[in-house]
Amino acid sequence: MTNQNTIKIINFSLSETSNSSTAIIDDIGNLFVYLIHQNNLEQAQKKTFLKVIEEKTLPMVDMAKQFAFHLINNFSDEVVQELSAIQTKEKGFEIMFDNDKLVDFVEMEMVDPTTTYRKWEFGKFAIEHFLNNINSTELEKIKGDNDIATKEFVELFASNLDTQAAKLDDHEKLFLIVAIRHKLSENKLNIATYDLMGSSVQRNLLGMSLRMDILKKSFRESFSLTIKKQNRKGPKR
Amino acid sequence: MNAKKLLIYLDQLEREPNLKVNGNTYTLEQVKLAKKITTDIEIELGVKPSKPKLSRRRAFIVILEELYYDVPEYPEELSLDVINRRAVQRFEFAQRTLNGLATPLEIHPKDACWFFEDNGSKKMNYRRALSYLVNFRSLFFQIAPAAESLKEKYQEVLLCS
Repeated sequence: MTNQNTIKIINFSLSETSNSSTAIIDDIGNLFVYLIHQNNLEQAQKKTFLKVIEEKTLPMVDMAKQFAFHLINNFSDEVVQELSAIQTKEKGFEIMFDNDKLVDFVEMEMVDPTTTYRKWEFGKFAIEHFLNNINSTELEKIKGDNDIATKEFVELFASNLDTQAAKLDDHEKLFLIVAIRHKLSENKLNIATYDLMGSSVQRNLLGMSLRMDILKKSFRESFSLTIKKQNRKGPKR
Repeated sequence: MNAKKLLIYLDQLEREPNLKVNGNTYTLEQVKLAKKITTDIEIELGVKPSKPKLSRRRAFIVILEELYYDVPEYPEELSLDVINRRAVQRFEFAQRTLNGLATPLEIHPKDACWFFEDNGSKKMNYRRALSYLVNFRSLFFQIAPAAESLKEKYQEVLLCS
């Protein structure tokens, strides 16, 4: 961020994955994910979370890592310079955690922005990442034709979530409703909505990761149920 | 909460027309306005309020400034342990040892232009640390005059960088 009050949006293209990621960038990504969520965990869970980040591929963890790579790719020259000056000879995540300069750097240049002025971008990225993994042609086709139809569709979708076999938490329902709204609005919800998602995903990163299959299933089922109910009402006039 | 009720909250979030992003930039003012709206709604959604997240180095700067903004020097016996303890109470950051950190003066010097005179990269790093705190001072400071004095210090550093 410059001292001016205007911030440039990062181009978070989903297809651009981390082909070029090196071991050190990967470690920084891991560190970022840990730091963004660790305060929501009990002491005993923190160790497990460290291991999980490093060893497993969990959906939300993976999403947050990709977000970290985008942040790194968009560092200003000044920040790139600083990173390259930090000694990172040690490999391995646990050892990196003892590298105070590096932890400091990740906190200041990556975590701080993601908890304030880029939090909405984090939330938006999480939603897009989720939708991208739904793989439904029906979903890809759908458009919000007009405000009234969109509103009806979202209301139906939302009430279908309540009748799902799997009980969903409020934050999970919110996430799924925002996802469908995001899709229908052609990715143009406002900063406040994405910001709320950003907070919620940061708080529930591990939990949402572990429940991702349930979330996807609930989304798919509520979505196709909504389509069915709408078709039953006959063609739109 | 049933989903219909959640929708009401989501509608509230979308009510502010100034929070739409068109083009490829947005502003700090938009971010702050959004934060105001989401904070209220999170309370209604039953999210427990938590300490603000802030990197440890910046948290130390806030604490140092709040404690000593109105005196010309830090007390000689001042240790980072004291600052750390206060910072932990106020902010959320990953706990770790203080080994890698130096002294209060190196983290937040009283005269930064002089202190970092021969170290351009440290000065830049410090300037970025302050820039963020100044932009979001309403989130992180509890003592208004300390926030103002940090803003002045930031402007001085800008002039000498």
